[in-house]
Amino acid sequence: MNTRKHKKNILPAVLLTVSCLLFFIIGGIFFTRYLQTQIFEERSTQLVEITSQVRANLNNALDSHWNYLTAAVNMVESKSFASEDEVIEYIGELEQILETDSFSARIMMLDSRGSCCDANGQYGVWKDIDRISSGADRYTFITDSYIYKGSYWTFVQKLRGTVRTVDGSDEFTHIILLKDVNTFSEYYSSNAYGGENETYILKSNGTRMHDENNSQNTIQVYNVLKALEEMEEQTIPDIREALREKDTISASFMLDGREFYYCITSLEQYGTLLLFLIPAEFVAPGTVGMVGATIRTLLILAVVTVIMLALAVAAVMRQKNSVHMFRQEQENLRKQEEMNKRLEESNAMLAQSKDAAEQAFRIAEDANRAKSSFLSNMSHDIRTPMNAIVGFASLLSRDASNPDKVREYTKKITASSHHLLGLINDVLDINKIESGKTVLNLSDESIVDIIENIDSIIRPQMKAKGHMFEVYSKDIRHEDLVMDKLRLNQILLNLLSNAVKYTPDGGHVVFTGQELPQYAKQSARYRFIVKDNGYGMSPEYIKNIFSVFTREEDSVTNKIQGTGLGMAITKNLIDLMGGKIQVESEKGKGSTFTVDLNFHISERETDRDFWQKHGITRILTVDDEEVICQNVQMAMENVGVSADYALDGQTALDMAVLAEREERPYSVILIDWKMPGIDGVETARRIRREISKNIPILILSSYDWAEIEDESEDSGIDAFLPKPFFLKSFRQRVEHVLNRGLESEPELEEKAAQSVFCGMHILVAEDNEINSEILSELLSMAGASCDVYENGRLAADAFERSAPGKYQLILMDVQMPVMNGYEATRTIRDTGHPEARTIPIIAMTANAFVEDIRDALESGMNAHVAKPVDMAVLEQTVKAVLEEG
Amino acid sequence: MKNISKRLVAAALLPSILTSCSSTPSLYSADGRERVTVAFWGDQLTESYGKYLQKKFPEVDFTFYAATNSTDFYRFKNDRKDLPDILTVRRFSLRDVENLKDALMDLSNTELANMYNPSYLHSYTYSDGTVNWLPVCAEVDSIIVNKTLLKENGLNVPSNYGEFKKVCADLTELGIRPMISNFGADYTCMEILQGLSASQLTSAEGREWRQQYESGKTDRLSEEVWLPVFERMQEFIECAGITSADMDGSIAVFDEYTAGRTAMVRGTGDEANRYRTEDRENVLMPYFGETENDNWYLTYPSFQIAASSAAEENPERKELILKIMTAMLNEEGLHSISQHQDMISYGKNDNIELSPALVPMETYIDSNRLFIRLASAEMFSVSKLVVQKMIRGEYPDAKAAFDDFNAEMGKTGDSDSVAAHIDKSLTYDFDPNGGSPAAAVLNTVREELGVQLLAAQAVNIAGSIAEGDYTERELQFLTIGEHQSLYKFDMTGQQLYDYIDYVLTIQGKRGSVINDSTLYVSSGFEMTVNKTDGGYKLEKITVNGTEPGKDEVFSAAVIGNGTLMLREALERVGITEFTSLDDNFSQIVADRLINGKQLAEPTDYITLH
Repeated sequence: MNTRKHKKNILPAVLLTVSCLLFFIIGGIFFTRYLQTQIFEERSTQLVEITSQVRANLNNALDSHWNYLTAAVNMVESKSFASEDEVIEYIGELEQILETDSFSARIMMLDSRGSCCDANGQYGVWKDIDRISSGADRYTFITDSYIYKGSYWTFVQKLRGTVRTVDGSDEFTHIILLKDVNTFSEYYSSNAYGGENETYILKSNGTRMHDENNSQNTIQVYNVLKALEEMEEQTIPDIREALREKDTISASFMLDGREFYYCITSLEQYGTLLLFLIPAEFVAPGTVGMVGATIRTLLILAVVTVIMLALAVAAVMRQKNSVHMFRQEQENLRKQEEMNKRLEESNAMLAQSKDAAEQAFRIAEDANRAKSSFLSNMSHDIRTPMNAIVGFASLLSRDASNPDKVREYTKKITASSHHLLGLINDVLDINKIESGKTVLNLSDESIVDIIENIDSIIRPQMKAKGHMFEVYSKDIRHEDLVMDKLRLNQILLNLLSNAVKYTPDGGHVVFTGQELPQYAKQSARYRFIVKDNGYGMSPEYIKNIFSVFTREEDSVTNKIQGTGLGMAITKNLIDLMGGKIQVESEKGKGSTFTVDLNFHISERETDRDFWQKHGITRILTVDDEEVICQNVQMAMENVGVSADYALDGQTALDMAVLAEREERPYSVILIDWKMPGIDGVETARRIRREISKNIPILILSSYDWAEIEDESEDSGIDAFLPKPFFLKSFRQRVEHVLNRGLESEPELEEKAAQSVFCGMHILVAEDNEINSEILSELLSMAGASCDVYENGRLAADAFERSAPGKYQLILMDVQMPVMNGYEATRTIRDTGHPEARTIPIIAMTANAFVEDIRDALESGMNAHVAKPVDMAVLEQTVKAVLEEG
Repeated sequence: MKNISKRLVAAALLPSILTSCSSTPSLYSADGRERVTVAFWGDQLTESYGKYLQKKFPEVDFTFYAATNSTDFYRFKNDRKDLPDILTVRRFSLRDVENLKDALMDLSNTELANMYNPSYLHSYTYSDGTVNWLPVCAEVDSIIVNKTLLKENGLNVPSNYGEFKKVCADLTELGIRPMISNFGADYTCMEILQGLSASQLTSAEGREWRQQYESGKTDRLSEEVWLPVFERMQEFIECAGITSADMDGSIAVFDEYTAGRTAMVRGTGDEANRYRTEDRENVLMPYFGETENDNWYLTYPSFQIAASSAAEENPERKELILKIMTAMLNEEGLHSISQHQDMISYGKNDNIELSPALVPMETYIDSNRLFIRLASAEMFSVSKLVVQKMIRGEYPDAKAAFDDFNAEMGKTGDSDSVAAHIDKSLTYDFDPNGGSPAAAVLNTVREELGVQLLAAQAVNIAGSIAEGDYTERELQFLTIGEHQSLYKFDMTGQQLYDYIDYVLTIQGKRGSVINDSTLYVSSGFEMTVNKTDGGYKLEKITVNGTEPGKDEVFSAAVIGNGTLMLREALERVGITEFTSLDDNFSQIVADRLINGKQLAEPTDYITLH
């Protein structure tokens, strides 16, 4: 009887324990599977991202080599050759013109017998002759060259017409560009996995493109895709079929008990596949480690809970021996209740643990991307300006009564703050670029605007350091290009800022924008050169110049503030744009940075009719530098305007007089300021005296207008055109001169001098009290008043309620409680207020990435200004918005 | 315990008993060794490769046989589900073997294909990446020139086509025939036709046409590319003194050359060395073009190798087949067939050594002027037809030859109509206590010849024979091996014993016995043979169960390589009088079947201890 009762009493406890165990086991299995799925997806996504980036690099590289070959074909086809020796000699010249040495390439030509020759002579029949005999015009493949030893990417173009030597000894049918695979591999290798990944270049049927001679490769067979398909636990049975549906696929497989991940992508145009293979342990190792730790922690928790339960059951058993069954049962009941409570607590703990694990998972994901060395550098670089700010702030409170000291400290705090801000921007930028999240925001832009904008930003800095700053443009034929304006600005400003900083006062900096000969009709090649005569760099330092946090350590440059990230960002951005950068420098003599970039030519139509519409068919340019005159001539002839030029003032005067006498006067005269003999102002003055017709005269100079202004009084000069010469700027200035009279100059000047904010009433949405206080003060200083609301909802309501015309502008923070800035903007734009759609709304936010700008514009805002607010930038932005609107 | 053992033995034997009852050969021999069938393109490989493989894989019971050197033979075998495990063929064109693709193992994802430079595999790779066939060493085949003979007559070795014509004219004037070759052989007609115009066929237009043809996009010769080829051939026939007598096999080509009656002969690198003596310096010259830069050597893979996909059903068997193929293709394997000299390897890191006769080739290898012959089956057959007609002067000009060639392209020439029917299948399996069904074929031939005794080596007789209908062309594939000589004579009992004793032990004469599958088959008499450490030893011979008298005379015949084996073996046992029959034994078998008769029944002919 007792035994039966005893069994009956312990049964619930045993059941409970078993249930808990089952719960832990089943829950554990589900949770582990969930985590494994997450890990797989994370790894696959990461691989696909990297592979896609590499694929884009490889595609670009292949395209650009084809461009080189097309240029070579054009040059060869336009030549005639006396003999084979002349062909051989010309290949040498061609290699020099195309600088093939600089990218480890060779040019070969093939005759109708299949024999090949290069700059060094004849080599007999080309080994790959059968691969280019299918009748197609172009072939791209990899070959193991017996001539140069090693493997080469091979680009073969059939000549449109056979090139025959005059002596009839040879007929050339093909031209070949060979590019060393080892140097080409930089376009498709990735260091994302610390060199543990393997890269395979395959033909579209899955066979190896060439003999890689890499005995370390995991897959050694000829048909790599077939081998992949037959691997254990392979989830894609027909990879080629899968590639027909998606151009990039990723999966995993097992080989000899080891898990591998692979990602394969197709370069269809080249009949090529790119395969990345990497042992699983090197894909997202941080995430996997974190998940492992989480599972272990959960197991320990489960074991502890089960032990506690077991102990509880044991305690219940002991209580069974008590004399008073009733009390014992009561006690048991109580203990059971207590146990239930503990179970609930355990469950809650488990839920918490799960949440904590998931949170830890996300944190670990982020943390995984951070580099320990990066943190160390960051710590140092942030602390340095912070130290100055904190230090001078405390000195400021001490010397508050001394205005000179206050000004000095404030200046130093401002400098350190700007440095710190620059550092934060750079750190965010480099982090974003390195994580592969940076995308180019392409739009139609004018290269003229870019260079003018850069000139306007850099020139004051140059002036402040007493540098002579010259800007040149050469051979510009295409001004409207498709580009990421912000990023190009960033590249050029980084280079020019460095030139300012690392050139001792009174130095000389030259910035040249040059358009190179085109390889393709739709594409323009640009070269930007920044040359200074500054401190220069040592050869050792140049090797690491593009690494993050590198700065040359010497007694002079150590005093110059810099983050050490600028060049890394610049290089990464140039790579992203498919361009290249070269550095030449000598210690004590200066540095030259050359950036080559390709842009698609914009389809935006330039205003070609402008000149005809205004009857401008002939102009005169006067400059002692003939190359500038020729630039102007070339640009003008492109739009159907003939351009004569003179190299000195007297000749120009004679030409202008003669033209008038022959009744075919010049429509516009463009004169350089500084010229030997009669200078530009005097030339203008004399032309005005001799010529009766009131033709527009523009002065062309690389100096500031302010420097010329006094001297040019009464000279008859209509406008000032800054160097370098750009057609677009020239057109704008001429248009301005022709339309003058609608507004008088003094009115315009007065307008320009006045702040755009003057008299404005502004609605400000800003949740941070300090920020709103600073902004109110700054706006007040600029002559504006404002109403501040602490969230988007209040701001939107205030606008809806406001009388038309009350507000001329809305400044909108983005991250705010209740309603964020994007939503508030949409709400404002949707209200029935008469100005709902027209009132300018400008985002003011610390979210300063390209995507943030895009989100702001998509929500209905007109522009975006990054925090901390720089009034000059804000004013310029508002001005631009108002002018547009 | 005893009962359990018996059950185990029974269980182990059951599969082999079951398979031996089926129509395909069993995978295991009576002594438990795994059976692997290897078909060689020529019987010379039995002595080289066969010996090497059997030594390398003693645990394997190899069945070697000489295949008819054509991919059509393998198509015939495949239609009857009787493909050998490993196939080799010399005459090869990817367009000829496309319909065997599914029947063959895909080697593209094996280590085997990785032994090659990828560029060599380009022309063996289907568009989906499949690789069934792998090439084995390049053979060189051009013009052998007797340099000594030219020198003695004050002539130099020509270096271009103009000089070649001049030398031909000078030799003719001196009464020496300029060049000779066996134009009865299809490969001679094809190689000389292509070789003489190698520079034309490798021009940009020539290459493009070839790719069109090989990919099946055209089946007609391009006039731009090919008309000059026939013009050159026409000119060559006249200046080299080629006549109709060169086609009927009545002239022993190398006898003429070695006797100094002719100064040049078409031949291989191996032949250039074989016929070189201290008194006669041979050089292998290229096919001549207009200038030295237009000269080309003609080359082709010595042979191609593939494996039946049947092995893929069993991973262990597949591994074994791949292991055997690897042994065939590795350095040691190649050495066994070529002494690693004068063959250009396709493998990675393999170097070649050139013998003195081939030294002129060096610059051509460096400048890659090695022309690979276009070797589709129709190229062989149509080249023979047209070139022979050109030699006989049946065309008014080269254009007519060109047009006729085009007209013949694409014609199979084979009738699809059923010519014969075989009522009974015979599965090839060598039984040490009886022999193989090859005896059925040999008994048939003996009956047709009307002789008492007949002997031949198994590798050149027949494999499995399937029941069913046969066309005339298919009957040619019923038997195996290339053309074999057939000699008829009288012999005594003692001579019979001595003859069989000799052929069981002699090596290097295209008839060597290197394992059970290469033993001789007899008809009209029985053999008792002992297996020794060194090979095989004849113990006893009986005729219809009784030992023949030493002086008892029998009418007899033998089948085999006449030049290298039969004559010497017969002379050795004292038989000097024999008749060489014109009939091919294959044709004898085919004719009998076409006449509505069946094959003779197989008989037990050997006891092997």
